[in-house]
Amino acid sequence: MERTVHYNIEGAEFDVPIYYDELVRQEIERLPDFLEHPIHTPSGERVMLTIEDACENGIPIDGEARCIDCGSCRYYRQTPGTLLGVCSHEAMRKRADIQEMKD
Amino acid sequence: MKYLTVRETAEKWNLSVRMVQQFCTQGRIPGAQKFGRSWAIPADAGKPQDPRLSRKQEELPTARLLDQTNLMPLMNTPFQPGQCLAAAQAMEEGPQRDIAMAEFHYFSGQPEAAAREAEPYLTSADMGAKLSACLIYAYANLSVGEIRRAKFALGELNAALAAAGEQSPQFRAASAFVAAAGAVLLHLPLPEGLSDAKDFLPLLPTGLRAFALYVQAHYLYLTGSYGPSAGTVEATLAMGAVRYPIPAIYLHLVAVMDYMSLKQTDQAKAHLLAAWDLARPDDLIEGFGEHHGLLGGMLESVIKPDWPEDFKRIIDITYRFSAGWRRVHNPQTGHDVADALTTTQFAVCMLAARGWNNQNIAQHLHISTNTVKSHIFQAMRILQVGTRKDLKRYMLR
Repeated sequence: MERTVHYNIEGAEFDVPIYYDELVRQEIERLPDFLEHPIHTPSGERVMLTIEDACENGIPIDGEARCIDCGSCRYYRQTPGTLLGVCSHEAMRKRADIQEMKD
Repeated sequence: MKYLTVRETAEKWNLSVRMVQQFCTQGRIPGAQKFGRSWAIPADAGKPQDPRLSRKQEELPTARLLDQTNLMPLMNTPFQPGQCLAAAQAMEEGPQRDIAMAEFHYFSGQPEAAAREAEPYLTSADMGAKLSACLIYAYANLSVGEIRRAKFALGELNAALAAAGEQSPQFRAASAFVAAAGAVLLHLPLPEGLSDAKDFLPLLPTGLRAFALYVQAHYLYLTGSYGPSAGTVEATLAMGAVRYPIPAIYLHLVAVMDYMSLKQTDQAKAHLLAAWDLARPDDLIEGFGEHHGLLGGMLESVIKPDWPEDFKRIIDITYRFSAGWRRVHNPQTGHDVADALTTTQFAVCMLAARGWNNQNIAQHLHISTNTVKSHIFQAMRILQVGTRKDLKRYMLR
């Protein structure tokens, strides 16, 4: 049976498979591509990797000269103890949510 | 092999038990082994020199015994690429050729042979041969995991430096040269009593001066002075160092480090290929493995695609050398340099720490953006850091 790590990112629950890499002799998480296959929280906010390259909407948090990744953006909330978090920018919300808001 | 106790050794050398214990703890007796709370000392081990006494021994003829022709002779020899072994074998029989062969084996990634060839000269009265042997023996033993032996040789280098104060200027220059090389390349604090480079550089022969300037450039790199470091390299090469392949390879490598830090990848690539052109015909690949972590993924980007077998051997050298390097570096500096990262994770994280985004790293290393993210994610979990800012602090301290 495949081993997995269970994540709960502000209510978005999903499992990430783990495999043992013989070459590097480490257990590696096979992370989903959060850009290709978005995962959203129940409130419609998008789950992101802290180290994802910054997008055009990014604004650096205080003390940062520039926004290089999600972790350095003021719209990002990192979930403690993980390298995952949630983007609160409106443009990244789930489309259905945006549609509902427009309606 | 026959072993003596600390007390027996103290009687044999006419020293106090405490002094012999200190020598053991400091790793200054090759082959001494700790069993529980006591030490077993090889019966044929030589008595280490006490640096505190050396200044009182002016009358000893050590200065006269410094033969600069035996000070890293291969490093100080100009030869055509492909002629390195022939140049070593053509040297005068005796210490000069023996040290040159130890150099050849060390720089071509054969540390066992290098350590074996250097060992007989660790206590030589010929200070040129002795200093060379200590330097080669220290680095070769890092790679073979004999840390106590490496520390012994580094201790002897520092002892020679401490003893050099009242000796001839040439002796002081030679001692400063090897002591600086021993410390800077291990990223250790500079030894006490080390002269300014400008004081000893003019006293060194051309090839050794070029290597000393590589050490100086490496030191500038470690202080974050990438521009001055690159300038030192370019000037040294322009003044003829390129004729001396061993120092030239190391100079080119530190230029790669500088230009990658300055995000000038074209210059970095040009220097890496120049180093490779000099090194490959003689298989002088040790320096590439030693510097891997600081080369900003250039080996993965340039060497791996075209010379995959050589790349694998370089990575083997990296793992072997860096394991020993950390065992000396981490306890002495108190910095816990990452030892659980793979070479690829390390290279990717160094670039990320220097402000490269995932897409740029992926293009540079010819891998996918997802693979880059996976390497950084895994490395950050291992290092227990939560943000890129923390990663930078960890990688570049």
